[in-house]
Amino acid sequence: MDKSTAKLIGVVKTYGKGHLAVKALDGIDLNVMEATMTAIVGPSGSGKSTLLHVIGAMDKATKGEVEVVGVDLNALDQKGLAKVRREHIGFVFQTFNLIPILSALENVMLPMEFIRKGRRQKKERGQHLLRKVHLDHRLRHKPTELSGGEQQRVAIARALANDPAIVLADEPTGNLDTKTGRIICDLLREIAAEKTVIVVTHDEHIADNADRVIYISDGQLHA
Amino acid sequence: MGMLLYGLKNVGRNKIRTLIVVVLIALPFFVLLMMSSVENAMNNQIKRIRENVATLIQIRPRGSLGHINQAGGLNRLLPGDVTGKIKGLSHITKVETYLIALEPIANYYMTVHTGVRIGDKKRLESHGEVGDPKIIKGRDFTMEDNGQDVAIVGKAYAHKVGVDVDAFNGETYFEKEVLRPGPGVLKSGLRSIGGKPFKIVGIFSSEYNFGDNQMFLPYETFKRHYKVSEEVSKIYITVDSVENLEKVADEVRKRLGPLADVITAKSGAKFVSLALGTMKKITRAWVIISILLMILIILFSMLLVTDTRYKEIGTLKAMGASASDIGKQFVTESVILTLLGGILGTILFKVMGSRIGKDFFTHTFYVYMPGKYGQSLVENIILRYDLSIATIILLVTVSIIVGLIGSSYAILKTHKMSPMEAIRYG
Repeated sequence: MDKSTAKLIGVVKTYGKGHLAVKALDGIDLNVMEATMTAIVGPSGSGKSTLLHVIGAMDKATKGEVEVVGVDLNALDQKGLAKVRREHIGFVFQTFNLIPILSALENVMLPMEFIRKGRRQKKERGQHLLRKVHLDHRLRHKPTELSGGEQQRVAIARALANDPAIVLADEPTGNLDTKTGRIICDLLREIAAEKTVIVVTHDEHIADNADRVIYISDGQLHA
Repeated sequence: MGMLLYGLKNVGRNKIRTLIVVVLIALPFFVLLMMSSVENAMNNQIKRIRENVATLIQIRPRGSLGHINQAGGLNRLLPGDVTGKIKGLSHITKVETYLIALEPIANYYMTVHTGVRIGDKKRLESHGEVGDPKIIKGRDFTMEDNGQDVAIVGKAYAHKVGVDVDAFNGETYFEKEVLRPGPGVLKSGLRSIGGKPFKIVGIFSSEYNFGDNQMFLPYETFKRHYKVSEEVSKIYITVDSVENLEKVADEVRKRLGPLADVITAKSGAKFVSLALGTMKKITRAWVIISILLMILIILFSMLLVTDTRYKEIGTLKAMGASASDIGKQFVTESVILTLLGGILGTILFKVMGSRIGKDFFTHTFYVYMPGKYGQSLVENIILRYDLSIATIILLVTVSIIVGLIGSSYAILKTHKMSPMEAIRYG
C-alpha cells in the first residue's frame, strides 16, 4: 500500500498583516506519496516556492495541518523544524548554493556534520554519493572549478547526504542549459525510485517525467 | 569536514579583509602587550617597595641629616657604639650603616657621597627606602673594591664631572679638580676627595633626579678619605615583618633616647605606592580599551560577514544546521582572526618594542607623573620585551575572549535569520 510522505490539509500561508496581508497559499490540500516524483508548476508568484518551503519545514503555515514523514510540523518550534530538515529533507536550489570555499566532497559531507556522523563515515558516504552522480573524478574541486551541471549534481549529492525521505528541488534546472537540465531531470527521476521528490519547476521536461503534476495559481491547487 | 575547519577556511576566503582585520587587531594587541610589560614593571616596583620600605627603620642623628661635613662636623653624627645599642633586638633581619657627605660640585651643584659596605644596599639620599638603583653601565662593587679608590656614580653626577655615559666602557677616571667647592657653601666642614684620581667602575640611574647626583664609595674608602673613625651617618634597620615595624622602632627609640631620630618610612612608601598605583590604573584602562577595540573590530568584521554570507547561512539553516553549528564557524573564524592579529602584534612587540617602548611609555605615562619623578621613572623603568609562557597564555586567552564576544552578535543575528528569506534575498 502506498504511504504518504507529506500531507497538507487546508494550509494557508499569509505574509504581512492587516490590509498589507498577502495570501501566498490559500487552502491547500495535498497528499504526496513516498517514492514518487511530483512536479509543482505555475506562474511566478503563484505560491510554488512557498508550498515547497512549508513542506520543507523552512516556513510554518499560518493555518491548516502539515504532516511530513509523520511529524506534525505545526507543533514544532524552530529547533524542531531544523531537526526535521536535517534528518528527513534534502534541498536542491536553483542557484546550487554550494559553499564556495569547500570542495565538492566537503560540500557533500557538510550536512552529515549536523547529524554528528564520524569523519570516516562522512567521507565514505560523500565519495559514494559523488560516484552516484558521476563526479568521483571531481572530489577535490571547488564549486568555481565545476560547470553548472556539475555543481547541481554536487548539490543533489549533498541533498542525499543524510538519506532523507524527501528531496525538495526549487527550479533545479533553471540555471542550466537544456542538455544539462535533462541530465539533472534524469537524476531526480532516478532518486524518485527510492525517495519522495517534489520539484518546483517551469521545465516541461521535468513535468513530463513526473509521476504527478500539480498546478498552482493564486495560492490554490488545480489538479 | 567539521564546522571548526569550515570556520578556519573562512579566514582565507577574503584575503584583503583578513589582512585588514589582522592589522587592526595587531595594533591594540601591541598596546596590550606594552601595557602588560608596563604593569609587570610596576608590580616589580611595588613589590620592591613593599619589601624594602614597609619594613624599614631609618636612624639618624637627632635634628640632623647625618652628613659628615655639615656644621658641627663629626660631632653631629651617630656615635660609633650606636649599633651595639640596638644589637640583640628581636625581629631585626639586617642592619646597614652608611656614611654620607654633601659635596659641592662644578657650577655650584650639590652632590652626595655615600660610603656603603660591600653587599649592602646602595641607598639614595633622596629616597633611601627604595635603594639599589639600577647600574646601567659598568659593574657593581666587589669585595676587592673595599678601601680602593673606586666609585659608582649616578648618571647626573657622571655628566657633571664630564664623564660621557654613552661612551663609558667600564671604567674611567676623574680627578680632584673637577670637584670644586662653591664659594662659601658648607666650606667650614668641607672635606673634598683628593689626592689621586678616582676610578668610576659603574654608573647607575636612580628613579629620582636628586638620586642621580650621588656617588657611592666603598665604606672603608670613604672613611679613609674623609678621616672618619667609628661615627655613622645613618643606619637602616630591616624588620622581619610590617606588623613588627612600629614595635621595633619604639624599642630602638627607647634604647637610643635623645641621641637619634628613629623614622619609619611609611609616608615615603605611601607616596611611591600611590604614584605607581595610579600608573597601574592607567595601564589597566589601556588594557580594557585595547580589548574593547579588538572586540569592536571583530564585531564589525563578523557583522559584515553575516551580510555577505547571508545566502550561505540560509543554505546551512535549510540543511538543518543548528545555531551552535553555525556559531562554531563564526567563533572559530573570530578566534583565528584575533589570534593572527595577536601574533602579528606580538611580533611587532618583539621587534619594535624595545625601540619605541620608552617613547610609548613617555607619551602614555609621563604626562601623568609629577615633573621631577616622571623623567627619571621613564629612564629607569625596566620594560621586558621577551616572549614568555605568560605572553602565549595572554595571546590565547585574549583571542578566545575577543573571538567569543566579537562573534556573539553575528551568531545572534543568524539565529534570528529565516533560512527561506536568507536564501531568497541573499
